[in-house]
Parts: sequence; structure tokens; C-alpha cells
Amino acid sequence: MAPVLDLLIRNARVAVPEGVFQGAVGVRDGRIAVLCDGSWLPQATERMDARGALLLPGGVDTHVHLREPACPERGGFATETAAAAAGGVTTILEMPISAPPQYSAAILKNRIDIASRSSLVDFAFYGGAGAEHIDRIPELAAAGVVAFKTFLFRAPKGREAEFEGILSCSDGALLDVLDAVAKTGRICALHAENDDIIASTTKRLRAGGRTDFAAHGLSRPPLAEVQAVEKILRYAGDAGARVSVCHVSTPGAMELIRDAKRAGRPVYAETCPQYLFRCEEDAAQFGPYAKYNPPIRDRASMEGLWPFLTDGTVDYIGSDHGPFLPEEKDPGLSDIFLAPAGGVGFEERLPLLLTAVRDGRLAFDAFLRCTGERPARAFGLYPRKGVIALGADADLVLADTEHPFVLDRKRMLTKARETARLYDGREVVGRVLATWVRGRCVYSNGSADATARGWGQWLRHSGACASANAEYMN
Amino acid sequence: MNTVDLVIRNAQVYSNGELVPGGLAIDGGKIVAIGDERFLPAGREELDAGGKAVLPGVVDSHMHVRDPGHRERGTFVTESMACASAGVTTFLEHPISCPPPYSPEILQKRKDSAAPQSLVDYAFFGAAGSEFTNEIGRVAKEGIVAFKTFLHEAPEGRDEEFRGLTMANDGAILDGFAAVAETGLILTVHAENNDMIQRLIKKFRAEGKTGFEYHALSRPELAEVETVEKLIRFARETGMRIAFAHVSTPEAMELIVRARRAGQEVYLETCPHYLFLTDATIAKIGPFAKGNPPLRSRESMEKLWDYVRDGSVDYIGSDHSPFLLSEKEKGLKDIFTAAAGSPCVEMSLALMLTAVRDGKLTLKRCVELMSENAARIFGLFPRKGILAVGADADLVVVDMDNVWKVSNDDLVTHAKAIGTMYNGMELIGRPVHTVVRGRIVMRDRKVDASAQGWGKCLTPEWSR
Repeated sequence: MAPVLDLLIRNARVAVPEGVFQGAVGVRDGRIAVLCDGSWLPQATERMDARGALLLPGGVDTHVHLREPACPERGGFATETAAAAAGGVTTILEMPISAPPQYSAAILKNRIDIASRSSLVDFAFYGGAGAEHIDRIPELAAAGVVAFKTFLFRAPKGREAEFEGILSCSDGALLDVLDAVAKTGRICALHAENDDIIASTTKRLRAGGRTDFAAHGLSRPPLAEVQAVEKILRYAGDAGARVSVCHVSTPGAMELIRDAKRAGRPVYAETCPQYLFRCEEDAAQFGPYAKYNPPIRDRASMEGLWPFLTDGTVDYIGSDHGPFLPEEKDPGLSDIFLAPAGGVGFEERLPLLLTAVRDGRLAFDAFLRCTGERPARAFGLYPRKGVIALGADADLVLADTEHPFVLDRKRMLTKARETARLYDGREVVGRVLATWVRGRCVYSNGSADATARGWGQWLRHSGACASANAEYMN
Repeated sequence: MNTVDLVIRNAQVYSNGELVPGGLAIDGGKIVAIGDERFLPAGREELDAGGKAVLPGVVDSHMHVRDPGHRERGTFVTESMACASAGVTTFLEHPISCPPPYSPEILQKRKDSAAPQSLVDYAFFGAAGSEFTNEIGRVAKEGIVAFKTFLHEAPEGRDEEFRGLTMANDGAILDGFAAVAETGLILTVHAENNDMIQRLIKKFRAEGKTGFEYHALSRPELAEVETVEKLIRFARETGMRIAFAHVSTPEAMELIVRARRAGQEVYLETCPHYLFLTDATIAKIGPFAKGNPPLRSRESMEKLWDYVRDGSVDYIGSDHSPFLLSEKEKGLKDIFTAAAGSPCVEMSLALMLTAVRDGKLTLKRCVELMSENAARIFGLFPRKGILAVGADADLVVVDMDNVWKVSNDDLVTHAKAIGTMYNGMELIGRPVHTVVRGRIVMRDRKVDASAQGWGKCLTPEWSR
């Protein structure tokens, strides 16, 4: 008997690295087995008519904070990976903020076990890197973390346990951590804000009675980011470390990164939708629900980030999805400094970006690069992830780029949907019609398949090092 | 439809930078499926690739057939057969010819000449010179992929071949650039400073120095570097899109990279001989290794690889140039009298794939340089330059394992007598089968002469 495909998605506009073709994608054993133009269709157990919708590689989200096991009430792997699937994300890179953070192989194993039981999408972990448990870095690398993450600031008040072993609070500590990570060959991701500047500014603002939303932005000025990035680039050069600057929010920091890349340095830049689609002028109305670190910037900064998407400086757009309870956010209404920083973003990212593509603000190839290809490459998951190509995992997203719809927090799948105010009511295109992870449909027609909990697999670093950084500057 | 025209099975298909086991289905000259061969349709014809690699057909950005100018050197039949043998499925024909295609009428003659002859697809450069600037706007509308110009005087005895193809002084260059800028097309330039070169040749001749080594000495790196610097400025000033042909020096490449960083649209071609040969080869075989620009020092050659690896070089052209043995042999006595150029297309892909084996560049970069980038820049993408559903079925099956020793006796080009530059080199990556729009024009290393006239003249996307 002739072999049969498990799944054939036909009549789609298929986004491959070379462009978009009209045709079909066939899946067998969880991998992409055939690409064809549709004039002839191979046998398949299941056929799906895409009706001309856009078939994209599943998104690789480089910046995710799920709260299990520390704070499952905020949102754990089951609810939040359903939200990821709803947003066209099929691979998440989970950050180490947890209690305790994964600064050792044993803690990592525990988190992998938890995620394995309930995740709908594939997941990889950053390892925690900090001065405190620096000797654990090699064991984490051997255990398969895709990268490391460290923070340059002190733990937020009341969240000390969530930040254990992931802090590089002094220059000496940072150099030590970069040295240790450099030896593993993995990327060291950093939250780049100068904590001293923030502490003194915050103190002054508080003394002046400022606790409104704008005070948050003022307390973390662009200088805090730009200076931290400058320092990181210098230190990374010294240590020979590959660094990824997380959630870059200012054109000034982007310029520094661009120049470092041009000089051939292994530097990666991430930005997030909140810095591209919101500015402080229009975010103030959301108060604590618009509180992020780094803060949402002014309009000129927001506009100033876009050219860095086009010129290849930005490697990936992570959501920084970080659910909180409304009860945690609400104290920020009266005193912005009391609210935790962060918010959800899985379900908004893809429609926002595809809308920017429709509007001509974002080239389609830059979109593909930043949501799939480059993150997968940088973190050792390529070409299994991040691309529609022969032999790649059948991680696929079918999106409707024709019909506008309104982002509605009530219809979201994240447990923290009540806090999803930032784009609530915005008209966009790019509704996700269906999402497949390794050939299995885990989300379609507005709901996730609850039986797919546990379908998500842990992804180790492939061991391959991303090739010369110059790859990424063309 | 359950069968297609041609299915290639048992292959390692180039897909997204890697070789993946599988095959391709081809129908109506296009690729209709790529994948695991269990899921491909049956073909009315099937080609077993024997586990070899299938790559996109090479798009050679730099070819000189010269037909109808000098058919004794090679014709569109003989040199497109050499292309088929080389895995080149599209070549971009440069305008040196008799006369060069500086007007639509002359271009039409070249098209008429190529049509019944070529086995593989091709497109033309138009000639842009300061002599007939009024023709530039007319030629631009004839479906050419770009213009080409030379800054030097015609070589000795070749005036007719370079008519309307040169911009001999800075004023002429600026006028010519402005005229090309108005067309919106790219101008490809041969960048060497003619004054410097003529002065040196005159000096060496006066001193009786006409030995092999004086070819390179008469065309120093400075002649290229200074001209590239000047032309970048002129192109910026006139708003013209510029491409540098056959760049041979790291310093010129660096200038181009910097201009690009500053936001200028500048393209960069180099040729295999600058990456694999040095002036030591000129010293040995003289006129047979004579090309313009000349082969450089080992140090320069090594440095060029950095620019190949990091993506600064956009595409590799062979600069395939057939000549008669007599035109080369003249140079045995006086190197300056020999024709410059070598019929080298048949080694291009194999050389670059050997470099991939040796870790000098990735397979992905190699395919970009040999196929994809030229197709993109000259408006032939996505029909050409890639293996993708919907693209023209232009491909080459190459043997990545077996080593072959280059000998000019084995070449297909009419000018094989002079193609000795790479003799004795041991390479992998020899093309075994070549397919142009679904037709097998070379099978098991045998070029199908009956495919004469199968090749089509291509026009860039923007002119269609």
C-alpha cells in the first residue's frame, strides 16, 4: 500500500524562506514531508482546506515567564501554553524567574517535569545565571538549557525567592557570570537596566510624592538601558561571551547593538510588542496594566525602534508574556511602584505584527526572521524549529490576514486575561485559525485542545553554535 | 493529475541551506513538489540521482560568449553547452561583442543569434558608454538585466568589440552614470584605472619587460582600489545603482562594504580565480592565466575569503572568456599582447563546493553566491536561483563525494585549448546532470546537443 501522509494542509499561501507559494504542505510523523503546488495532492489521512489563508512557521517566542511551580495562580503551563498556541506560538523559551529559579540541573529537571505534564507547545528553558550559584552554570549547559539569563538589578521587594541565583548585581559579578557562560558557548541573555540609576531616581520621585503611572517611566529613564547595554557589550567582548539583550526599548540601545553587530560581535537583540505598538502617551490610561520593565517609552522612541527591525538589528520579537493576578496589579492604581512589572502578550503578538505587515510598516521577510528563523538559529533549535522546510518539525500556524477582527480580552485563553488591557479593543488582522505542534492540531476555532496537554516536548540545545553573526546582518 | 513530466528521486535535495533526503517533481517546466519521495507523484520520466545532491542551477552573472562577434572563439551553442556541463542554467551575457549591444537594434541581433543556439537560459547586459548616451534610455527598455561599462580603452586590436562600451574619462563617467541612473537599472563596471595601467605598460615595454610577471605588475591593486573608491562616489553623486564586476582586492571590497553600511546600493561580484589562484599561476603559465584584473598575491586571495564568508560578496561570476589559442600564444613572447580572460565556467561550481567541503564557507552561502543572489539582484527571482515550489525547474545534480582531477582536455567549451588555469587541481562537486526548465540538458556528464535552442532569453521581473 502506498504510504499516506498524516496531514495535508492544502490551498494555503505557504511562507517558506524563499517567499510565499500557493499550495500544500504534507506532514508525516510530525515533520514536514512534502511541499507541493496543489496541482497534484498526495494521499493523506487528514486533509484540511486552508481556503487561501496564510500558513506560517510556528512562532518561537524567546521571552516567556510561566509561573509554575512558584505561582501557578498567575498562570501555569496548561493555561499559558494554550494561550501561546492561540497566538501562533509553538515553541516557548521559558525564563528562569520562578521559586526557586532553575539555577541547577535538579531544579531545571523539576520544571521540565511540570511543563511536560501540561504544556501544549514545545518548550525550552533558559538556565539561571548569577553570582550566587555560578558553579552550577556548566551543569545546566550540559543539561540542555538553550541559553542563560541574568539580571543586573536586585530582586523586587517581596519576590526575593523568585530571583535567587539569577542576579549579577555588581560589575565584578557580571564579568564573572559572562566568563562562566562564555565557557559553555551558550548565549547569555540579560535584562539591561542600570539599577543604581533606577534606585536613585525612584527615591527622588517618591520623595516628591510621585506615584502616578508616568513616575514609573521617569524612574527608569532611557539612560538606564543605554548605559547598561554599553557596559554589557564591553564586558561581553572582554569575556568572549555571546549576549542577547532582552526587551530592548530604546533606539539608543539599538544603535549600540547595531554597531557591535557590524563589528562582527556575537550580539543578539530582542524587542517586544509593547515597545513597538504602545507609547507612554497612550498607555497611561492602563496604569499598572501597562507597567513593564523596561517601561513603555515615548512616541519618538517607539517610532525610532522600527528601522531596527528592517535593518536586521532586531533578531527576535519576544512577547515577555508574564501573567499576574489583577489583585497584584491593582495596588498600582494608587501607587504605581507597588504593582509588579509585566503583562501577558502571547495572544496579541502575531495579530499586531501581521497588521504591521499589512500596513506596510514591517516587511514580511523581517516578520518571518524575527518570529521564527533567527530565534531558532540563535538558540540552537534551527532548522527543526522556526521554518517551513522539508524535514522541519510540522509546527504550523494558519492565519487569516484578510478579515479584520477586534482583540478582546474576554476571549483570550490566558489565565490572566483580565489584565490584558494594553490592546483590548484594537482592530487588527492576523487571527490565528489553527495551530499545529509537530503535526498535531492543538488550537483551532478559538479553543485549545485540552487533551493536548502534555503534548509539548522539552527541547534541548542542539549543540550547534549559530554561525557567524554576520549571517544576521544582511 | 497523477503523473508529472519528470521526477528526480533518490537525491539529497538542497532545502533551506541543507541537503535533505528526498526528491522533486517537475511539471510544465516548474517545480511542483519537493519532498520525501514516498509522497511524490509518478513521473513520465524518472531520474535516479543516485543519492547525489540536487542544487539550484547556477546563475552565472558574468559570461562572455561574444557571438555573433567572434564565432571562431565560441558560439552560443558551444559555450551554453559548457554551461550545461557546469551546472549553469542561466547565464548573464556581458556586452563585449562586435559591436556591443549599445542600441536596441544591435541587442536584437544578439538575441536572434542566441535564440536558436543556447541550451540554457540567458539574459543580456546592455552596453553603456559615453559615446552613445542617447541610446541608454532606449536599450533599458529592451529587457536587459543591467548595463555594463568599461573605463579603459579597448585592448590592442579590439576597438570594434568595445565600441559604445567605455567611459574613458571622469567627465564621461559622470555623464554616463547620470544617463544610466535615469533608467533605474544597475550599471556593472569593470573598475581599473586605465591611466595608471597604460603608464606602467608603456614603462615596462620601454624597458623590454614583457615577461609573464609584468601583467600583474602593470595592473597593481591600487588601480582597482582607487577606481572603486572614485566610482562609489560618482554613483552616490548621480544616484546610480552600481555593481562592481570581478573584484580582486580585499581593499576594494572593504570600500564597498563601507559604502553599503552608509546606505548606498552597491553590489559586489568576485570570480573563482581570485579565490583559488594567485600570481604564481601567471608566472607559470603566463597568457593562459592572464585576466583583467590580474591574479593577486596569496595574501590578498586569502583575505577575499573573509568577504565571501560574511556575505559581503553578493555573487560569484565565472568571467568565462573563450579565445583562440593563437590569441593567447602571442603573449608567450609579450604578455601584453595576449587576450585577457579564460574559459573557466566549467570549474566554478566544483571549486566552490570543494571550498564548502574544506570548511571555507557554508553550503548555504555557496548557493546564495552561485545562484540565489544574482537571481534576486538581476530581477530573475523567484523564477530562478532557488529550488522551490513554483520556481523554474533549473537544477544541477552534483557529486559531492568523488574527486576529479581538472584537465582542460575534458572541457566542453570550444576554447578548451586555452583553459589550463586549473589543470591538475583535485575537486569534488562535479555536475552530473543539469536540468533547465524540466529538460535534462546534461545527463551522466553528457551534454545533449539536441537541446540547442531550448534556452530562453529572460527578462527581469520589473520589465514584464
